[in-house]
Amino acid sequence: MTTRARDEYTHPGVRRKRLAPAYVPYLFLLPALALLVWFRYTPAFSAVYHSFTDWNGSPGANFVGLEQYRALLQDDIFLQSLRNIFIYTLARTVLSTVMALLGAELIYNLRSFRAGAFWRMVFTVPLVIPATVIFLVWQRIYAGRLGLLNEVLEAVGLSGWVQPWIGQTDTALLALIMIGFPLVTGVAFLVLLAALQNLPSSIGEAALLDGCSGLRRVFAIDLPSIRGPLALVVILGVNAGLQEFAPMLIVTGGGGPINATQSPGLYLYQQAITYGKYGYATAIGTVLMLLTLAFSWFILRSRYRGAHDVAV
Amino acid sequence: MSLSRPVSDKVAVRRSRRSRVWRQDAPLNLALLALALLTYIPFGFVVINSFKDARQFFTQFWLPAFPLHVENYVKAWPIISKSILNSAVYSLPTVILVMLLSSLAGYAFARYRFWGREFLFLAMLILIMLPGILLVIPMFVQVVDLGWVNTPQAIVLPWAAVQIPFSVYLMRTFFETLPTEYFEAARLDGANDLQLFLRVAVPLALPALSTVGILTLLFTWNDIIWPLIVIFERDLQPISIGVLSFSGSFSTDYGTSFAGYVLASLPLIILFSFAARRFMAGLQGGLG
Repeated sequence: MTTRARDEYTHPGVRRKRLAPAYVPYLFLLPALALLVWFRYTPAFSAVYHSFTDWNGSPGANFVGLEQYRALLQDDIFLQSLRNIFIYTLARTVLSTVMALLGAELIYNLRSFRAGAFWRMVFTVPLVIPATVIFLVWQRIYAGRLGLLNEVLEAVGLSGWVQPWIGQTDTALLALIMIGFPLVTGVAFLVLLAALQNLPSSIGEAALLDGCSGLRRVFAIDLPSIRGPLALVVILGVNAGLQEFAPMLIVTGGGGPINATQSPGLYLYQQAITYGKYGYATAIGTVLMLLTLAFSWFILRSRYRGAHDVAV
Repeated sequence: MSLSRPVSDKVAVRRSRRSRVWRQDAPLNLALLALALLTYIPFGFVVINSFKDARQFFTQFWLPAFPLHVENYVKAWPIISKSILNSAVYSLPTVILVMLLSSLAGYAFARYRFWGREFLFLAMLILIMLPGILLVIPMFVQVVDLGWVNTPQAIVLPWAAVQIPFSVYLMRTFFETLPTEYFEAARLDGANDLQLFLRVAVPLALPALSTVGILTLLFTWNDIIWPLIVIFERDLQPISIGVLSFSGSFSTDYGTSFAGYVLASLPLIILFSFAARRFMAGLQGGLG
């Protein structure tokens, strides 16, 4: 009896006709696929298609070839937004990954289990605060008058550093990058901590016996062992960073002084919603998509080159 | 007497081990404390100042000032309560829909072999890499054509579609870890495919399902762009947009704005404190 049942699993073709008709898995998939076709695949193809047209929302768009892309290359605001988003994504991804890793490593190295659970809780709670609230709070922190940061600087005698952080071109982008500092809280922290805590303890013990401990263990053993989750965190960070739009809109009020914090995501939104230039906006979106796919591919490729690896 | 000695020895040993653990952990705990302080100071600042009127905010920036102005909360409540209710109306169906559809699809990918399985799975995964903002314009036109502007379904269905690919990935990974013996046993007892899914797979998948549910809840609670585009009516805005109204009408009434931020954060904080353990387990259960 058991052998037959096992055969059925390992050679599903043999008895599937009697136990599970071939259409059953498709029935399970159907609702999810239908929703994805409706609200993901169709809009995606439509967006890419319309980036080659002069669509303005009304039906009947004229095919204009690469005209929108040519216009994009000559649009200084778009080029500025690309420069901004590269800086933002790079700095933000590096900073938040490093800080999440720092928090996770500190907790992972604790000997007391209860202290570990406590700190994990402490850094998870802020995750439930709405993003808009975080943005508005940080807007208050950076405010030129009665802003928390400037008041701290005054209090510690650094009044020379007091400045309107989000109101001037040379600090506005930096201010957006630092929102939420120290940036331990986040899904990245939870993913990395879970990955570290799932490592077999024998590895750490063996390393300790070989005289490898502290920082050296972190770089020689921990980091290579969690390459998979680390790649996942970086990919998700880059994806989110490249299409970032909300902090530019809310904290620096729509692109900042002289477009200092303009981002392609926000520019797309403004072109489409404010000016009704849908064709132009979808061209911006298509450029963003190509950038995201290229980055993801690049990271995944470098990840699979490694010999010792852990699945994501 | 002879019995009590070893016991007290054991206590002493445990105590000394505990103090050694404490001493070795001290620098790590200090570093974590510093990070926690930096994380929480802005929130403490908001809570303290939510009880001040404008004059107190100008003159007494750092410390709590008396009398406490509780009426800030009374003023903020009507605006915030409406958007909390709206958020619940949009988020709850989304969470249920994503849990249902992604467990069905994840189950199919994990437990069946069928033509096109890996292709369909990859086609779904690539959606994770797709920037959502690219799809916003065609989706907006779709919603307008359907006459769905200002309706819950205009938010719920696209939100569910955003969350499904990653959720299917999590569910498939989880279902693949379940021992096949469970399913074979139930099959021999005469269970059909739907019963296998509902009676065997779903009850075992509760940890992964709660991860999917919590991640979806957090996403829907935080998303700004989609409600901004399809909900024009102010009274129908979810919390992520509703809280923005404070930066307009109360821009100099800092106390009321801060009270609004606190109120806007409360629902999920309350939910978290009631179900902290399940929440933590859920967040990490499927991510490990």
